[in-house]
Parts: sequence; C-alpha cells; structure tokens
Amino acid sequence: MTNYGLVIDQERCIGCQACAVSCKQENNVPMGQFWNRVLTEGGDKIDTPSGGYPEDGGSGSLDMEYQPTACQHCENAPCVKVCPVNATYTRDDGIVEIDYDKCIGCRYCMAACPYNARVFNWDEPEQMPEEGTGDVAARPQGVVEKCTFCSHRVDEGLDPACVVNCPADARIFGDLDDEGSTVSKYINEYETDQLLEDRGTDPKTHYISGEMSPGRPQTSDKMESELDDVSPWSDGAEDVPSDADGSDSGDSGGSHHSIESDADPHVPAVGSGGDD
Amino acid sequence: MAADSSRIAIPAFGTKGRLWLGLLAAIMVAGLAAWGYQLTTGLVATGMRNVFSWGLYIMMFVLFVGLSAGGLIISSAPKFFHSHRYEGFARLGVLVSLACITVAGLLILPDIGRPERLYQFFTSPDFRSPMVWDFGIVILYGVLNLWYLWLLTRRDLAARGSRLALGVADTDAGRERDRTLMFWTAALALPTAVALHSVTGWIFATQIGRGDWFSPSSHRCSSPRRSSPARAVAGRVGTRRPTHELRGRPRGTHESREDTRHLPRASRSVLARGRATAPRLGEPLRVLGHHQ
Repeated sequence: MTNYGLVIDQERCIGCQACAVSCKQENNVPMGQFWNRVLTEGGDKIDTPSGGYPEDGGSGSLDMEYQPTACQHCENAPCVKVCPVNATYTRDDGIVEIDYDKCIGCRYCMAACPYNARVFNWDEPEQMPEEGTGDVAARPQGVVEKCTFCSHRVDEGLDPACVVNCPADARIFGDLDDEGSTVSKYINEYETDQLLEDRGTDPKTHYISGEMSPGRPQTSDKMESELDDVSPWSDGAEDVPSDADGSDSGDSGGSHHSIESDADPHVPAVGSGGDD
Repeated sequence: MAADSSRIAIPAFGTKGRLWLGLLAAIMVAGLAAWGYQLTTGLVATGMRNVFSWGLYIMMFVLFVGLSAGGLIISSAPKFFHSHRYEGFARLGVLVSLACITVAGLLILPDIGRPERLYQFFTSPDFRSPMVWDFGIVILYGVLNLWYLWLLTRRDLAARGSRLALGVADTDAGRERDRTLMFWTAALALPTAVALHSVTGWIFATQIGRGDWFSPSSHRCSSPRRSSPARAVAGRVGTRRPTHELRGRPRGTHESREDTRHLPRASRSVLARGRATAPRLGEPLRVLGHHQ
C-alpha cells in the first residue's frame, strides 16, 4: 500500500516562504488564506527572533527557528473522525482530503485540528488574478479547505508544489510504506519528530532537526518513484541512471535527472524552468 | 375539565395581543431576511470569524437546550412519579420545551456554512462524529416533545372540536389509555432529556487534539449557568403565581447541584415533601432547586 508522507528538514529550511507562496498559486488558495505557512519560532512577529543582541550589555541570546506548517495528514486524523457527513476522509494512499461538494461548513474539523491547518471560506473566495493561477477544482463559499498534498499533482506522478519549489530542498515527499523511499530512509537515519506527538494524531509529516540531511534528492518535478534508478544517498555506481533513462526523459530539454552519486544531490544539474 | 372556559388562558387575542403577534412576526421576517443576506454574502456578514459573535450563537444553543430539558423534565417527572397535584403544568412545560428545542436547533443554522447540504446528516452520516449524535438527539427530542404535547392535549382539543386533535375522540376510555401512554412517554422523556445534555457534552468532550478548553469540564461549567435560568423558566411555567416565590428565595443559593441528572432523586423528594406538608404553589420549584 502506498502511504504518502512528507519530511521537512528544519535544518535546511531558510524561511523564504516559497512553499507557502507556491502552495497558494498551485491551489488557488483564496486571498487572506494560507494552506501552508512558515511560522517563526522566536519573536512575536514573522522573521523576528527572541532574545537580545550581544551589544550594549545585551544578552546575546538571539534565537529564531522556522516552523513550516500545513496539514499534517495524520494517520489518526481528528478531523476525519469528527466530520459529521464524511466530507473529510482519508484516501487509500493516506492523503487526508475534503469533498467540497459534501462539506456543510460546520467547522467542527477546524475545532478538532490541533495544527490550525484548515481554513474556512467566510465569504466568496477571491483569487488574484480573478481566474486563479492553478488548475484545481474551485471551492465555494461556506466550506472548509486545506492542503491536499497537491493530490492533483500526486495523481499524475508529480511531487507537491511546495516540495518542487523549495529552493533549500528542505521538503521531501514520498511513500512511507516503501522502505527504500527517501522519506523512509531519512526518518530512519535522522532525528525526526512529528508535531504534537502527545496528541496521538500520528502525523505523516516528519520534521528533521539536529543533523542536516542531504535534502530532496533531485529537483525535477517528477516524483521520486518515477526515478527509481536515482538514489544518490546509497553507494555504488549502479545508481547512476543509464543513458537510456536519460534519453527517455530528455524531452523536457534538460538532463536534470542525471545525478552523480558523488555530487551534492540537491543541486540541480540544469536549472529547471519551473514545475510546469 | 375540558369545557370550563375559565381555564383557557387567552380565549381570544385583543388589540394588544394582535399588535404583539404582529411585532413578533415582523421580527421573524427581519430575522429570515438577515439570514438570507448572510447566506448570499457568507458567514462573514455576521462576524462569525469573531470568536465572540460565534460564541453568542453557541452559548444560546446550549442555553436553550438547557431550558428545553428543564421544561420537559418538570413536565414528565410528576407524570412518571404519579404526582397528580403537579400534573397541571405538564402541558405548558412541554410547550416551552418544544419551543426551546426549536429555537436551539435554529440557532445552529446561521452557524452552518452551507445549510442546504444538511440533508447529508441522513444520507452520509459518520457515527464516529459526536455532531451526528447531537443532531440525532435534538431531532429525536423535538419529535418526542411534539408527540408528548399532542398526547397531553389531544382529548381536550377533541372536546373543543379542534382539528388539531387529528380525528381523536374524547372518550373516557381514551383518556384512561392516554394516561398510560403519558406515563410511558414520561418514562422515555426523562432519560432522553438527560441524554440531550450528555450528548451535547460529547461535542466538547472528544477533541483528542485539543487542550482543556475542549474537555468535558468546560461543559460542566456551563451546565449550572444554563440550568439556573432553565429552572426559573420551568418554575414560572409550573406555578401560576410564581413571582413572590422566586423573590422570596434567598440570593446566592444558585448552587450547581441542580444538574438534571439528579432529577429522579429530586422528584422523589418532591413526593416526600408533598406528603408531609400542605401543598403550596412553587413548592416543586424550591424542592427541585434546593433538595437537601
């Protein structure tokens, strides 16, 4: 079974908000709403540290961390359990999704979610430009919406937009049930936590802290499963894609799948022109 | 009992009564128009994004649920325990209960983003959701109230030739049978009223992801606050001249012990006190509130 999950390397995150912005563009998230946010741990406002400068007798205790937060796609999702009309449900591949034609807008799920991942369309949702920027189903006024792990992209074998557009390669998407996937390997190799583990929600989003990981192994817009020959963190030259593979995927105009095993895996071989 | 016209509270509406009804109708129309406006512009129209204005609706829901339970309990307890002296206020109590549960249910509607999809509570319910159970108990409770009110009044309605009797005839045997039915309805109404409270509490009780605010304790805090007015209203219904009794009660005795779950015990003490002392108006009110 496929069970999609996300690993976010907080040691890599630079707080640039590119994931938040690309999520908004990809999913036509209405003005004033965010499905994906990069919270600042530190000061009271965004991008502000706590503590003081080490000058004029200050404490020199400046401290700031970034906390990228969207729907955690919990294994034991409280929102799914409280939805009275089964509008919020867990897909077979583990993605927690909302049926926008079913949602009655009671917002019980928002009360249940401890991550504040859900937003409600208090009035007619507005996009800028008016027709929106992404190719996703429209959500009407009066329903709850949230991150879908870009299920419309995942269904086509693409990584979520936030993953593809993370310039620090801090976000890695993949199948948690596949032992060989990057997400599974990173969870095994690095120190990872889930948010609010004590609540028993068992999120499928894992955060790396402590030691920095090599990050997302490639920067094409293909999912890792599409590139099964490319696994740069494992040793051996057999991981280098063959010429045939390279020519197969050469239609996108770049050889960006050709990652050498000794290269920094997160650096694109060829600058990508965007995710579509 | 039936044909005595002096027992009819309002034989016909006078000018004042008609004005009052007109005013109420105007308020209802204004409310419906406001709701229609909210449906077109979204919940933002009523500031639902603000916790305070959202809380007003939810608080009033909880309040009216409490009032409703109080009305039904004060009507069915005497029936169930065969306290004939207090049977007189059963009808008014159930009427108030029905009105309150209707208001409580309607108070939820303006808080729902897409109320036209509420039919999905029947077509696609998730029984893990406490809200489904609360929806169910409110509906069940309303239907029970409606049935009970009709049961309590149908023979008298028939005696007065009302069409609301729905073809039921006023016979002695029928009245006897209705008394049995009333007993069993009261037996059903008491646990249903308690269930109404408890299930409403579930809504707050089952948020594993959230902290104390969402725990059942918050519901227990709200319980006395709503059952106090519930008792007051039920008391007004139950006694014909209640005001001096209410005023005579020492202040500061609004303890939280009048939780409706204690009701059967309280009802027993109603009977005990009723036997020991001369009947007084307002007595059940005081006993229910401050059973020692």
